[in-house]
Amino acid sequence: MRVKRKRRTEMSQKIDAEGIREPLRTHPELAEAWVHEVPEAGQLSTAKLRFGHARLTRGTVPLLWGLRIHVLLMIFLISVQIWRPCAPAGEGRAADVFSAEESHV
Amino acid sequence: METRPKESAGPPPEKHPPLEGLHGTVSLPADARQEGPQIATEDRKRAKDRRRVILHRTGGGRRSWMLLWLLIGPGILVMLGENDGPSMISYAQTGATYGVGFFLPFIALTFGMAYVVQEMTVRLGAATKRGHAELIYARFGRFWGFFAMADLVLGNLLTLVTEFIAVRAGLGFFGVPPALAVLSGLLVVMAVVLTRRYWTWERITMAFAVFNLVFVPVAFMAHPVSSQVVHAFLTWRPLPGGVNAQFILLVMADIGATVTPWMLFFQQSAVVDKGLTTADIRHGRIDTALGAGIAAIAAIATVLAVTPLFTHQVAASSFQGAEFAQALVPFVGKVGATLFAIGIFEAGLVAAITISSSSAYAFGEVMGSPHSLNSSLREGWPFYAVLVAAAGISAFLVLIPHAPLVFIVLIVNVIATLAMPPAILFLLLLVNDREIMGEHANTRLANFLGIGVTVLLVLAGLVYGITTVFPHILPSQ
Repeated sequence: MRVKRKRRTEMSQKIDAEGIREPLRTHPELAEAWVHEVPEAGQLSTAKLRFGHARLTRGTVPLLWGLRIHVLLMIFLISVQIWRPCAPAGEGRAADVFSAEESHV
Repeated sequence: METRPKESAGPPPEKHPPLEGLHGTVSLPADARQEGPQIATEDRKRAKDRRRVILHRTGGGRRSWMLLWLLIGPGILVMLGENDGPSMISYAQTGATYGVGFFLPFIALTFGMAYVVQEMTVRLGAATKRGHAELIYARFGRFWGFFAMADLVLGNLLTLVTEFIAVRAGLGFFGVPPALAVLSGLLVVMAVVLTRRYWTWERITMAFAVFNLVFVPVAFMAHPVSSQVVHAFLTWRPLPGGVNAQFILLVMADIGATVTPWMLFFQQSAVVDKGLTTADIRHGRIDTALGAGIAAIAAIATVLAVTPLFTHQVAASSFQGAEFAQALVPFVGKVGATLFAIGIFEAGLVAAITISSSSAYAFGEVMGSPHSLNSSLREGWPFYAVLVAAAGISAFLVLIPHAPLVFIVLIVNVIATLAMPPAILFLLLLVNDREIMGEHANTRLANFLGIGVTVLLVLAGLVYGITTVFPHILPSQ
């Protein structure tokens, strides 16, 4: 208990040493200023670091085209998986999937 | 004071003059409030957290432990969130089918791979102070930004359904009616989220996540033969049934599910929301390694807990959550089975909290609206609305009578594995982008490991996705 209190006192002194507490007490307006002081650059939600578009290298361009093809493949595979059980003659899969006993997970 | 990150892109934001020297008697700068950028509620709360970190940064001994305590969170949550309801069931099914053998060291390896990937999100978040979706949008344009967000939100919505199924199953073991179980889970998610304080949210969720370790006592109650366990870790054997198409598919599915898209988005956003900086990257790594270690222990314990089913040749391939707990009663007793059911409930609940948060983060990052668990309800209402809607819609789907839940569970895996390549490739591109990462960009070793793991994850995911949709490709399917 005493150790905890001592630590709090130490921390409290450190806050004073950093010149944070007293200005806050005497000038509540400075509360906002203190919030500017603590975070690093770019951490404030209203003052984020600005990043422009990436410069695409020779390697990146084909990679992004590969990704576009992947997205098409992905849409196709997911569509097939959704369409199969929904189709009227879904090779029995509709019955398998939709009427399967609800998962007991 | 901490070191400032190296800024290489864009103008540095305006900064208020230092307060040192203002102590006591100094006059108040007339334009103190107007000088810097506007302060939102989230900034005030984050600044409080950062002040505590700064105060504990200097000094060793107990202070360094306290600093670690202050900085851990995102890594542990993401790894234990990945040990979600379906994952724990999958580990249990693996244990009941293959017993003690190949899959014990293999599970540990998958968490090692997860660490390699997740560590990059820590550096990316700490160096850029931006979430994953936000960075994709800023660096690669509108199409990929919206694609990443829509892809994630849809995949998460379906994954959340499986988490609420786990919540229902876990509580079902105790006789809680399904509707009450799901609504209780939803209420807990909403209560935790609406604390409107990242720190509180993180600590409550971590307290829930600790229950992932309840599988460890159950594993001891199952009395596994320790020499067999050691042998398995040293030799990666035995492998009942040998290497066949079904085994390869299971390994592919496990590798493909090692890292899921929500994990990348969630950890990076959480690192940013927590306010980690480049000075905290070392602790971020420890946090991620701790999470991976704890999650691996819980996963391996789950496999060991159900090995009596393998030994006694109980057909458990179609077992689901509560059925495992019930089947384990003769082997681990009522207490062990109860712990197992609690573990399933916890796995679903923690994943529901983290996954719904990742959806809300991604939405806010791409739409440019406030996206912080520190936001007030007034400022961050779109963020909280998405979060609550994601959890609410999923819970509602679980409660619809005769809803095609089996179908949803199947399609979740396909969407997760297929959505992985874009997310992880953008991660690699961004973390190698020296313009935004500066000195924290990937080293050669990190690239070697990162690219190796990425290729493995992408190929395994693709094979799993294609063979799930076209099962006749594999002869033994």
